[in-house]
Amino acid sequence: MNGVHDMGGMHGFGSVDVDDDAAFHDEWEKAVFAVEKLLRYQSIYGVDEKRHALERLDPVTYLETSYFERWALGSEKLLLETDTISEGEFVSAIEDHDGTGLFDHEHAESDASDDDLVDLVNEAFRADAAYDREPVEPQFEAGADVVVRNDHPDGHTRCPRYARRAQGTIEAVQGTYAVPDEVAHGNEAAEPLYSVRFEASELWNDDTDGDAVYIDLWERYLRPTETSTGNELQEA
Amino acid sequence: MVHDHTHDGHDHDHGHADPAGDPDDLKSRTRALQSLLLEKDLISMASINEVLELFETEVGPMNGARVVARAWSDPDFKSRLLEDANDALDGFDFGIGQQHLSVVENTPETHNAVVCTLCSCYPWSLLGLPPTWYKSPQYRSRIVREPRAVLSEFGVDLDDSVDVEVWDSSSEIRYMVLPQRPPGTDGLDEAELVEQVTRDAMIGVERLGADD
Repeated sequence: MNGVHDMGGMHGFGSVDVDDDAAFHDEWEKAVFAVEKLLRYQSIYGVDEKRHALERLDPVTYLETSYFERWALGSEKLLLETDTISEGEFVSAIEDHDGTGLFDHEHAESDASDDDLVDLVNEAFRADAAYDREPVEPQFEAGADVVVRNDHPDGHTRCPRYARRAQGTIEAVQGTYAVPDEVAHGNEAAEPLYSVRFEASELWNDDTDGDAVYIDLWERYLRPTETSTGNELQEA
Repeated sequence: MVHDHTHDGHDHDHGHADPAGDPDDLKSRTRALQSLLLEKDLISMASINEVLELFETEVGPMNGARVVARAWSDPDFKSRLLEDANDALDGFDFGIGQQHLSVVENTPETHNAVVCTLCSCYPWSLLGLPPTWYKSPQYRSRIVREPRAVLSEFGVDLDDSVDVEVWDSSSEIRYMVLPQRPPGTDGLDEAELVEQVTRDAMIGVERLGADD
């Protein structure tokens, strides 16, 4: 979806706060992070659904909130959408709450020895990324020139807007990976994934001080340069 | 949106007197949600503490630094690392799972930097959790278009003869930069070289041993 999360190349945000270096600023952020991991480890939702939930925040909210505030909003949204919690019990929980944070309680140092979730955390943390997808024969090989399709899906995609319609060169064929555009919406699909090199001038014309950008793109985002149906001629 | 629904059929005239129960305040709402998840046994304090312990102590730039130091010391390892990072890293025992990883090499001709313009993807198994600036709109929006300007904000001023190449982490592959070995480190062994490596150099926003 063409959301404000897709910010590569946008102007106006100002200089990078290079001194804002910490991963967390306070215990509230730590709690949001840890809770989100626990929900994901229990497969209450997946990483693609989580990313898409943040993208679906309204654009003003997205830009007004901090990184972990967006995570908190995303968890809330997905817990409700997956019926893990009901609207009614959430409202009651808010009304009944005493205002304390997780780390304010005496049970903050609770015993890990009889807690299945602790085992699950360790298992998930130590698990390697999965490589078990059925290989799909790639359409492009390293060195091939490709053009990024000018698609504007309203669902989740990992094809950044700034790459669309640009011509690049396949740097590497990375293997077969699950397609986030499908997985975020509860479908399964796997396709060849490519690292594609773009000359900076192809992406930004003269308005760049860089030389090249590499982006990982799934096969469905790409077309060969030779192809020239009427539609694609217009794109090119 | 939740804070719309929460107004339905409820009076919230106590909202200001009782910020703990204010549905419009995200932080208090989140705390209430966490209490609900505790009740439902979807989270526990022990598991929360375990998550934080693992991410704050078992991963961090010390993992990436060991990889970099070995690449500087062992040319064979370096070529395997650049060819197939996951395979090369099998020899390390970080006690953590591996992400899909790819390592890109800085040379006198090319400087690399890593970003995730769409969210905040980061090689946490090698570098730990990302700093806030890495996740910021400023860094995400600008490094792909004006990397030299961004690098100069980090104190890195590159000669025009050096190409700047940026890796946008749009898939599940996580990129890490192999910095150039700093000058004057010829006599150091692998353990001493580890000390030379910084997190920022492995993201690509620092040049080791540079004057700037």
